[in-house]
Amino acid sequence: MGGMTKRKTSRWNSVKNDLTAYGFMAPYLLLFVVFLLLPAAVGVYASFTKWGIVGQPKWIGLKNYNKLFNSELFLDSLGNTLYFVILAAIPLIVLGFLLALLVHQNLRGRNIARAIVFLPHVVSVAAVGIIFQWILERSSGLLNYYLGELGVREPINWLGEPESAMPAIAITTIWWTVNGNMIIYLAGLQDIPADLYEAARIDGAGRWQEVRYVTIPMLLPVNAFVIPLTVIACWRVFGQVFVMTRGGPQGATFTVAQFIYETAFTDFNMGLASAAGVILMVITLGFTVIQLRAMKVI
Amino acid sequence: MFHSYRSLLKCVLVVLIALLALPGALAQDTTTVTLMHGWTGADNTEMLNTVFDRFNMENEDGLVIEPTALGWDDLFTQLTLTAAAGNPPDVVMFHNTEVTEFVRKGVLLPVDDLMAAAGIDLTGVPQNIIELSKIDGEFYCLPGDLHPMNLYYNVDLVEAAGLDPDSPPTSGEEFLAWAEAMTLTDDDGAVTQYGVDQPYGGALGRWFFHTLLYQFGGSWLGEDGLSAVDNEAAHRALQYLVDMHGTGYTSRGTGFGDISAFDAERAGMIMVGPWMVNSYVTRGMNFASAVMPTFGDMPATWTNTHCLALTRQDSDENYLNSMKVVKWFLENYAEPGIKVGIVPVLPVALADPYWTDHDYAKYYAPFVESLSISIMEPAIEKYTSVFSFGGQSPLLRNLEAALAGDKSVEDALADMKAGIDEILLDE
Repeated sequence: MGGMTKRKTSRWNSVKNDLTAYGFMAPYLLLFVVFLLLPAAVGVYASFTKWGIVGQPKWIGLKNYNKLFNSELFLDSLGNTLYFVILAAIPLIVLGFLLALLVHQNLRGRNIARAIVFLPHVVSVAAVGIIFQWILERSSGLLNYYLGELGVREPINWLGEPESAMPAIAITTIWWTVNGNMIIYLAGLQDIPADLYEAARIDGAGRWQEVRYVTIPMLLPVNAFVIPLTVIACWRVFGQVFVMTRGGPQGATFTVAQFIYETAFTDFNMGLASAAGVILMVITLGFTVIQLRAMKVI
Repeated sequence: MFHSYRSLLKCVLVVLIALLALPGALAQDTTTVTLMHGWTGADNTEMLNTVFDRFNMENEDGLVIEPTALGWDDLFTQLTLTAAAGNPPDVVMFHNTEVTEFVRKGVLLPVDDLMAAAGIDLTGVPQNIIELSKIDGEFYCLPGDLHPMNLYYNVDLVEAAGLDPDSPPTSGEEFLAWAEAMTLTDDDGAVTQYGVDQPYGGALGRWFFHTLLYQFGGSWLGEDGLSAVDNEAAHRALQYLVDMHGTGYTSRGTGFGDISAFDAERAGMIMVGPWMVNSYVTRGMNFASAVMPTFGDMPATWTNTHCLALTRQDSDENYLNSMKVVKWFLENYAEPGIKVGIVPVLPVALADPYWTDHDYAKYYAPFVESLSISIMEPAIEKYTSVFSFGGQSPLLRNLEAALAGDKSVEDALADMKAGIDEILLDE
């Protein structure tokens, strides 16, 4: 009898704890459902409809997906975005890590260096885009001016040539956002216990071996966070492209996110735009799962 | 002063009620007309607000304009969304080229009767502009201005090249001679100054191609309603443009925010609309403007217009008030005309001393002169899709490809037509 009462009390305590936890989570869950889950669900539904914002959506099954997979424009935008991911994501991760290692050193002026490296992160995408437009401008841009001083006679049309436009946008993006990864890696580095390095040194490890056998393995959880997030962000590239090239020249920087934007808000074809959004979601989800599997995180 | 908390509370309550009632009392004699516009560049929004404030002070009907300024892309989206939600602005100021699209969406209201009721008189407005404001014989918007593309030149650079700034080029040959004279190179042959600041793509690229297309006798659309850019005139126009860039006198930028060669006084000429007058004056540039030279068989130049339209509302009670706002604005277009850099079309605004006596009038004179040769892009239902500046635009992609030498003129025009037709035929 006494045992049953105890079990009842214990179960009630457990329920009470659960309710308290849900109570604390409720505000976030409510916002998550209203502003993220519900719109995403509506987006998935809309992808199976013909809908021009005005009027009611009309169910058309898989027609939007069929149209997308037969659209040269959409397939081009996928290819362009993949190219951007390759150009930007790897440097963003590697440079972010290397910068973190650099500003983690116990050097004079370290805090100032950290602040300087982080500064671009607070600049808005519109400002970054316009600044780099000026720098990269063909006829009177800063970069071509200095290249001219170094003996490059024919000015390079950085944003006007299909071959150089996407690398130029990738470089802009790296300058602008690499510091975000640096900060996360820096936090990870500061969490690594100093005695691990001490033990490694006692075992005769050099600087490179410390990085390879202590730092990198210890940063696995950080990598599991940084790598998927960086890749996802690169797949969703939009602002800097929209400001700097609007997807040109010759469509060379036209990305999936811009395809979605133009389809939704220029052509007002919400169904097709939603279908493209769903495909982008599936791609980023697929990449994330593959990466996490490869890192043996899941 | 207060004998108790209760009397203090009573006093606070009375003040609160009075404060809450005050706006209502003040608002009793005013009627709000909401107005959405896209003039956000430079100080345009602030300038327009001063014009709206003047209306709010001057009008005796108790009307108050409540403006909302949005970038053009956002405006089209917001107008669609607010209309879908049943809450569009009373008045919208945008371009004639977008009117058909929004009429077909059921957003805009035919206004013939309201024009008559408000006493709007379009006498003296060129007939081609009046026709642009009608769809199926009914007025859906009122034309406010034109902003055609014309020639600007840097007087200092012109004089330095030994040219006469009082005799600007009027033909393609003269234009190229000026461009050649003002293109400077250093000892190694690298260009240090361009004859003309002309990009491959973007707005300036597209508008200049439009100008050439019509100068060579072409048009965007054929009688079948589909693209006509694969014809002989279009071929000649694009070939002319390719050859012009081939001379090496042009800056060949992207066309997105890079008209800086002329801004930086590293290019002698540029072809752009009147809205740049204020910018060049502010920079202290010694410049002049001229009518677009005739490169082809006949004079023509790109233009667009701003117009004012009324949206369909649940109730018609504010329609006449909205039309009164439109009338006042059209008749007082001189100040926005000068400050934004657009040419009013109503004779009463063009005769306004603010327009005729202003220091900038000399810069705007060629733009007024070019009204008769100004041609708009077709105001078709899918205007914003066909004439988009985005990288998906088959028009821009193929124009840029031809100018960069990545496609032949024939292939570029064939692909341009195919792409435009695909958009036009898409249900």
